[in-house]
Amino acid sequence: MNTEGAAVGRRSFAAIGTINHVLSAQADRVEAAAVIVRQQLAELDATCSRFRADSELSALARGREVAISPLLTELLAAGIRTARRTNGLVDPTVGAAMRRLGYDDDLATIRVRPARSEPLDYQPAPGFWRIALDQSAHRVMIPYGVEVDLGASAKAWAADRAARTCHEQLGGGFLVNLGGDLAVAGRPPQGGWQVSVDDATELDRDDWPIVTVRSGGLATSSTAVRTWRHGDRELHHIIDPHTGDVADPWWRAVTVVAETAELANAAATAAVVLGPEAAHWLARRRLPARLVSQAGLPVYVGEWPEDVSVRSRAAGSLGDQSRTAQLRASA
Amino acid sequence: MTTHPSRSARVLARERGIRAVRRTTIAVALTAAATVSGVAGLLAADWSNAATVTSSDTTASESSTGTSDNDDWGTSTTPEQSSGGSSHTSSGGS
Repeated sequence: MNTEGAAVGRRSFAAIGTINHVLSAQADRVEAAAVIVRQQLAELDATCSRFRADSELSALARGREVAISPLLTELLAAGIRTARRTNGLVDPTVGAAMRRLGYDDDLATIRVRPARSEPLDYQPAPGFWRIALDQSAHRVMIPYGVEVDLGASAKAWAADRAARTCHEQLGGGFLVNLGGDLAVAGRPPQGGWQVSVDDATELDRDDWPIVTVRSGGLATSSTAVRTWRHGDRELHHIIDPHTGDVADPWWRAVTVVAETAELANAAATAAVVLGPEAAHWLARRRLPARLVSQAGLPVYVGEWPEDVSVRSRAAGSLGDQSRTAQLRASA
Repeated sequence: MTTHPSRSARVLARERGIRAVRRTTIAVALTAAATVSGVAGLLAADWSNAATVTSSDTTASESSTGTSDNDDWGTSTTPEQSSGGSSHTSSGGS
């Protein structure tokens, strides 16, 4: 039986270049929670957007140590933590590589401008170790030539922060979903939070697998959603720091559950970069995950449950069977 | 009787030795970077300090091979199979 209940409140809004959702296990607290999350995302955008010349990160002097805000300190620390945890598979110094590949504005803007075709210039990321951050003094030195892109960590970190703040200030259970990076705090609704996974296949929403999450974070990274064209190539937004090119699209999407959204997102993005070694890498770190091949078929890691979707449940079959049939029909 | 470690054992030991050296070197590099950061706070535009930070590049680069284990991944959190009904929200590719 679904125990979703009528008490769950939900607000959705656009910010930081994506659609965000705030859910409260107590419907009467969702409005106040949405105010908190909107405010935090406005601060996030003003602090670390690389598409805004007036953001604190864009305006930072290079080549000397400078004072920075506590929020930018936290965001840079999260980016460096992510890079260390993933042994450099996810690196915040890919900003210049992103720009060279054409991802230098919101995707909505990039997609409507004429496609570029000049030869691409691939250069490895300078490396996260070049960022000298003094976290306790709120000071940082970023050398000339190092362009920082916190896109791979900031959103997930912000989801954790927002869910935690809502719980601490309002009491009760909250889920904050920032463009697919989900964080949960407090007591979930009866039956847990039901999360469907859009793995960027052509399948109908009723075929998306649904999992129950009660704590921590869940994140999906995909090579098939945030895409744009350059000449004959379709590019996506996940960069391999070692090459400066987009990661080989071995997987369409990788979804990971972890103790926080920051951890889940770090692992999901690293898995995309790793390609065929990803399932083993995730298993060694005991991270439940679901990886979807380019053909649309899932690989499960650890304790990730077998797929159950709305359609498979109605048909009384496993999600895999329903999914395979749907994929064949749409091929 | 004298026994010799098998070739695979020797290879494994050598790899472990290399891995231990790498970890030590990385720790030293990080400590050095933190120290430099502190000094740079006193001498804001001292380029000799900036150069010292850059000098750790080679070592740090070796740490980014993706081969070493890393236990800093929090406690295990497990998703459960959904018991039914529609979803509250969805996680799409970001």
